[in-house]
Amino acid sequence: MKFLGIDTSAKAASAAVVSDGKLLGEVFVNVGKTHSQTVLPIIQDTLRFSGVSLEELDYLAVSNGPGSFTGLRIGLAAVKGLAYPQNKRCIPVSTLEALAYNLKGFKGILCPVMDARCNQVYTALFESDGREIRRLTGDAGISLEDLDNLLKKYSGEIFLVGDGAELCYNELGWKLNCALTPAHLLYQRGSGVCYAAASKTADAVECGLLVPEYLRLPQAERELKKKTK
Amino acid sequence: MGKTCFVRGLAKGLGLKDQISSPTFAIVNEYRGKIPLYHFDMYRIETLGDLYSTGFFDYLDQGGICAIEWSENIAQALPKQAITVSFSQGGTENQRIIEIAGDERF
Repeated sequence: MKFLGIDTSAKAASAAVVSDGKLLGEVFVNVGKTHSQTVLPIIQDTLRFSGVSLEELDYLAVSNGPGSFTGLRIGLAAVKGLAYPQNKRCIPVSTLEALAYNLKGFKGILCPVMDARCNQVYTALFESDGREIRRLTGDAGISLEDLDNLLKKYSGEIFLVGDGAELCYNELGWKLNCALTPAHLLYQRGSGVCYAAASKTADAVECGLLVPEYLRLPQAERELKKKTK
Repeated sequence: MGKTCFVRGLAKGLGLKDQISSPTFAIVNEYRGKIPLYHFDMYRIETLGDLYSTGFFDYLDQGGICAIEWSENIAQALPKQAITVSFSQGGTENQRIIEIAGDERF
């Protein structure tokens, strides 16, 4: 089975090709360039250097949220455009689940966290026994305080991964049993998207059914005007 | 009050050739150049959810200049190092008093 995995859900952009569990090629750039300008060249190069053509792919996988409002739509639109002519099967992958799959092979609680600003994070919990990754909680937008309360319920080592990991580590990690994921595994990657997708091929859909999953923030209705004294 | 006029001057200073128009209906207008300019009008933005759906937080990361009209509507979401430009009526019809306040860069 050949997968192309794409992520443009936050600052970094990445694409990877995985064939029968083997990572053939991956491009990852984290330089703050506009995804609309980088994503297609990245995909083209990843396929070319991996020696895999678009026709040969079995699945196109893409992280569909949570994430940046613009970034998610760029990734989804790119995948839809590539999949449509040959009606390729597409697999939407939770950005948080893709992050958890960066840590495939680790043992412990996996806690992907994405910074949603204003002391809020997008998160979900997973458990890894070193071989399989199992989901413990659904994707949610919660406050840092609620994440603290959630993590207190788990014993054993907790691995923080994602662009909110450092924030959480600094705010909560020192008092909980948390470890910060090393820098090369910290952000969303095409390979994480591929491996997460490989575990859920039953979720494959035709490209027209791909939709972004913007998670609602707990403070979405919060007014932003200056507080009157 | 001259907000869009001020942004027009800002764009000229950045070497942008495009015609600058008010972003009231589009909420944000993008002008691409060596340093891009993002011109917002937050008049109709009230909540964090509204602001998220304008892509505002994505623009903050793109290394450009965000000129934000009605920034008081999103006061709680403005970056700490934001520079505030205030306009008030001067002595004659075509005069404006412009006050600029910000961090150590000013």
